[in-house]
Amino acid sequence: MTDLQTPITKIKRQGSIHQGAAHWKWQRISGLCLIFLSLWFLVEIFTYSQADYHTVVTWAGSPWIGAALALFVGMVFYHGALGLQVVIEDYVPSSFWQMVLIINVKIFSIIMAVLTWFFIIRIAIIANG
Amino acid sequence: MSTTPPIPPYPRPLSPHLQIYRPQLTSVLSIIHRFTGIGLSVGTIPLVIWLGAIAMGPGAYLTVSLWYASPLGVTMMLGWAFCFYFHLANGIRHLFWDIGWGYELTHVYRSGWLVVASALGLTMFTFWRMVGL
Repeated sequence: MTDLQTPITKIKRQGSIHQGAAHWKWQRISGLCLIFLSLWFLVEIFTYSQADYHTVVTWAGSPWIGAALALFVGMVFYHGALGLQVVIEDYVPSSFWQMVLIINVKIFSIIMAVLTWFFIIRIAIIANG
Repeated sequence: MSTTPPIPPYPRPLSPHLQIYRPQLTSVLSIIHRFTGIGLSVGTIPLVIWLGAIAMGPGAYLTVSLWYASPLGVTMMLGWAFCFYFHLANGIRHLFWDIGWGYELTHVYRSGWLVVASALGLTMFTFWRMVGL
């Protein structure tokens, strides 16, 4: 069939949705933050990964450490969700399944971050109780 | 006026796929960056479990600690450590590219091998620390 004029409804969904630059920028900003946060976490985890319960609770329950852990975990899930989104966009051909997977990744990341923040608050309560 | 595109005499070639593209340091490191990123995403789950165990009490903490100290646990930690060191080093390499540094082919290869050396060296250091403890 001769179809010279593309229906407007067809082309409207084909172009850029103008979110790529922000995604690109925040992936790099969160990555830059994670250089410092993850190296801090690595040094700490070397010390505390094999510590006894009381030592670990005292460490993770102190305000500064708890806040840094919360920040680290939040940044990890943010950076991870942005990264997994790119992988899904590149390797899942169907735009429907792309959307489904990306929404799932984002919701799962939010749930994990909130769960971890709750754990950190709980540890702080144990440490000071 | 014909609107049907002419049929080519033979199928048009596809863009080079991973299976037929000769592996180079640059492409291999790019692929590993993605795989280590996915690995680190999966690796957040043991971290959340660890913090959850601390929040639940000494019993849960002991169970999870023993679990992570098992041979399988240590092996997974080392895998995670490699993913972390590689993604960190190659991520820094990417950030330098983003500000326009290191695009000369010789520099790209030099920074690439530096990433490989750093990731392997730091993983071996971690192995030594974990087994030495």
